[in-house]
Amino acid sequence: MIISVTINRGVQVQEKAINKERKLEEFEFSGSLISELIDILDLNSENLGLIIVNGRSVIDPAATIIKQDDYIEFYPLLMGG
Amino acid sequence: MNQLIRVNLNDGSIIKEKMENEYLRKGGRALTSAIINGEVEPQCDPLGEDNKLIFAAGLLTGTGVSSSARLSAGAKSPLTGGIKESNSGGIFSQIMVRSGIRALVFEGLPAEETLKVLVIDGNELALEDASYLENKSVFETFQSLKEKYGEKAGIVCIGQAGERKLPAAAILSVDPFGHARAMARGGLGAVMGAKRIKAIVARDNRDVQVEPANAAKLKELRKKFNQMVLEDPRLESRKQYGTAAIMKAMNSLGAMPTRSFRQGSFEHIDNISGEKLHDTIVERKGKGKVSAPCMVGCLISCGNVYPDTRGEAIVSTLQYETIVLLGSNLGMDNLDDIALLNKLCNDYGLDTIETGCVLGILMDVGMIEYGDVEKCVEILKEVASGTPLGRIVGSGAAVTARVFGTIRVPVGRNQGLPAYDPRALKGNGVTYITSPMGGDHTAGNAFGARDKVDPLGKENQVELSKGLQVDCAIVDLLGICLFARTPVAADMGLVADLINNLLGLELNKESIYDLARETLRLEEEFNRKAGLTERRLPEFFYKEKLPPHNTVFDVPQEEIDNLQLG
Repeated sequence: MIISVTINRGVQVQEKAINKERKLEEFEFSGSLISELIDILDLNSENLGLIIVNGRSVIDPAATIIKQDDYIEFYPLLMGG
Repeated sequence: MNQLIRVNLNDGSIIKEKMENEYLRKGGRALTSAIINGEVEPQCDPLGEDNKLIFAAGLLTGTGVSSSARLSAGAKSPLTGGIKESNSGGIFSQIMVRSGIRALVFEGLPAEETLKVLVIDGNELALEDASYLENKSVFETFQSLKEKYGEKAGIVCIGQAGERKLPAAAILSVDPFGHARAMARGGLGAVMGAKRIKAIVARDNRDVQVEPANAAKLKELRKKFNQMVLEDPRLESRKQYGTAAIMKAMNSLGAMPTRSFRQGSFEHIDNISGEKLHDTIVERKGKGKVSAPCMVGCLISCGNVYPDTRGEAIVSTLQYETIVLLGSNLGMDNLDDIALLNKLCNDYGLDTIETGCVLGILMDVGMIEYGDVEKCVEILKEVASGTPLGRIVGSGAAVTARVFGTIRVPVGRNQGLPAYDPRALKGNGVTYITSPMGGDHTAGNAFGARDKVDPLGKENQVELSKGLQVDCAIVDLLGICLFARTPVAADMGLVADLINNLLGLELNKESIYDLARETLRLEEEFNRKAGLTERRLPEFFYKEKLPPHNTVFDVPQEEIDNLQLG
């Protein structure tokens, strides 16, 4: 399926925090769960603070099913001021 | 000796009291609220003789651990009509504590309107004439007092809004770089203005220094605590982007107030995001700075100095709440405009959150166009000069909405809402109407729990808010920054040991939790007696759907009514 993904600054890819946002606008994904997408993109799940799918916060990445045309955003650990 | 100072404004007397155990074991919000609950008549007029204005250091202030020098101000609020505490960084609290003073209590009202400044110089305290500061802005006051009492003096003061006793007035504290930090919420600046105290100055007098109960042990514990701060994985994000790090996330969650709370996301987010803020500061160089501490010894340094195109500083610190309330909430898509409004609010001594809500209302009723920064500047100048419109604006969102005949008033318990729409971050909605502090994100912000409780759902929001309110009360009584709460939550025993080795107490982990719960209980008790018991948001939050999720605030009222905090 085709999905859109944004990996925001500060997220660790291959254990290194990126300093420029990455947009994957027509990303072909063959899995079904957010947790699988995290593995495929090689994101450090320990450093992920917030995952948003179509504007909704993901509670459990291993139980959240991805659908065609979903827009998924990954954020680093964040804290409200 | 640790002391509490009482300044009686009826007769000008200043009394030093040795802090007894009951008050000594309380700090920050716990102390301000205990004094208000115990000594202030709940039905009193907030601007009258019977209200008291208290400044208190947190229990960790003086330990030297990172981010532990926030100063609490407390009084009965002219905005909410209930008990209020507001705190900020700055250098005042550390100097005050070094002089052996852990709290200042201003009582009574002077017979004359003449402004005064309280000067602390080691063991000496004096109320001095401050008529030369009348109508001076905050930065003019800082400058004048530094010239008189020294560059390194700690200063707390009000601007024109406070002098006019306007309920949106803040109290500002000078930081290590001469910028202003605001004890913004609840209109405490108006209480200070009513008492005719323009400023408090703590001179950097090193002749008097209170020694900790066990300096060697304290040093060892401090090292351990600071190491935990440095190892927090959120540290880098805070250093680079400060509180604005969450802007894009809040926008995507649809909970970022936009155009007077009509939308939850802003189409120009990329122009005002934390990343844009960071990059603009870095590109412009000059006096601009990312990672600026608001207090001495802070290892987090989440602040910034936002420069203009020539590199001259406009304001410090431009942060999330202000960028949203004076930005997307007003349809402003330019950080320079937001920085200018922020600077004026600081200079006139206004709460940027309350002011952002007010300006949003004026735009919503069609008095100003969205995005019209020039008109906003004119109106803020009217607050400073005291025109009738300026006085309405300075009276806060609820009064302004009433004057202009709109029910779209974004308040919680009469206080302008911070930058989290309660229809899309429902835990915050619960906090806004159940916290004794009213609509205040620092009283229990559910943003941190968005991966545990669905922000849009109505389930578990009340329990979530309750737990967060206890956690925030702990942070507030310790005098520590919210951003340093990770080590606090991880090892409360260490926190208790730090306090014990500073003040010679025998606290433990449980006693700190007990103190937070007791504080909430006392605050609720005061509010009950003051008549502040309603737990409802304004009607439009229940009826008007918030795009993009098209949700309303629908947490069951029965659950909210049954919530017991203490």
